[in-house]
Amino acid sequence: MEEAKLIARAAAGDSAAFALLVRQHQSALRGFLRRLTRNDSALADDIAQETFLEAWRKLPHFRGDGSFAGWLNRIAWSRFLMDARKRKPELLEDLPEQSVETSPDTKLDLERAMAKLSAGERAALTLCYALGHSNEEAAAILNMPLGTVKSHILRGREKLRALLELGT
Amino acid sequence: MTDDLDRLLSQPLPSVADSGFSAAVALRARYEMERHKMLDQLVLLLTGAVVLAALPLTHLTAAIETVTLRLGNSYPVALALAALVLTTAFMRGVIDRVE
Repeated sequence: MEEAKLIARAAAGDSAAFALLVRQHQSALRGFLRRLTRNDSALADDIAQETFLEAWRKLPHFRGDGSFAGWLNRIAWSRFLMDARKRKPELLEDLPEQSVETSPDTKLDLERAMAKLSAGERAALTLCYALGHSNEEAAAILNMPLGTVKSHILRGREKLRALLELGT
Repeated sequence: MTDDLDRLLSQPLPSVADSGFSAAVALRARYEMERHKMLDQLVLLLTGAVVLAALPLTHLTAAIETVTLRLGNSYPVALALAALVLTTAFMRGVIDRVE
């Protein structure tokens, strides 16, 4: 079924339609949150569940002027910030570079290198590259000025390049 | 090299298996909806109870009783009711004859 119809039905209280929406978006949202939580899958899933429940409560107010995935990511980001401030403030900061481990697996290297970045850098890079959002959309999702998002991307890329020894 | 980094970053996030996650969320959503409905009903009941408790029921009952007794003992009201009943019966009779 078309996503807009599912959203309308879920907003009217149809929990089966909402379950379908969750099934469609869970992988991307949980993947995004795993990046944000430095691969703490239990914490990421906790936040993902709270995100979906908040979305369920707020669905009647979803205006549809952006994508549903973007709206979910926006809720997830604010939930992540609240949780991290309360439970794991270190998730918001950079990790020291000397703790970088190397591996022959490039993908693993990327995840490990990503984990060294600040939360804002991880979020901006993931939204704009892996999830395909524009810089403007990422700014709206992260509730940050466009310039801040761009500098997060720039700084994050520089750090990643150094960490992955890709050079310039 | 920038292309390498772009390519790495643009790779889709690793797929996360559902493993009952969606079902658990849907279950919590349904539970939450039912809890909200129950809370709404409880608030409605409590409001009703408070309103009833605040109403001067004894005064109201006495007033209704007085008015009912007065109406019952009033000749003009009795005559008006009798006229109404007779008119209705007459009209019905006329309608029956015409049909």
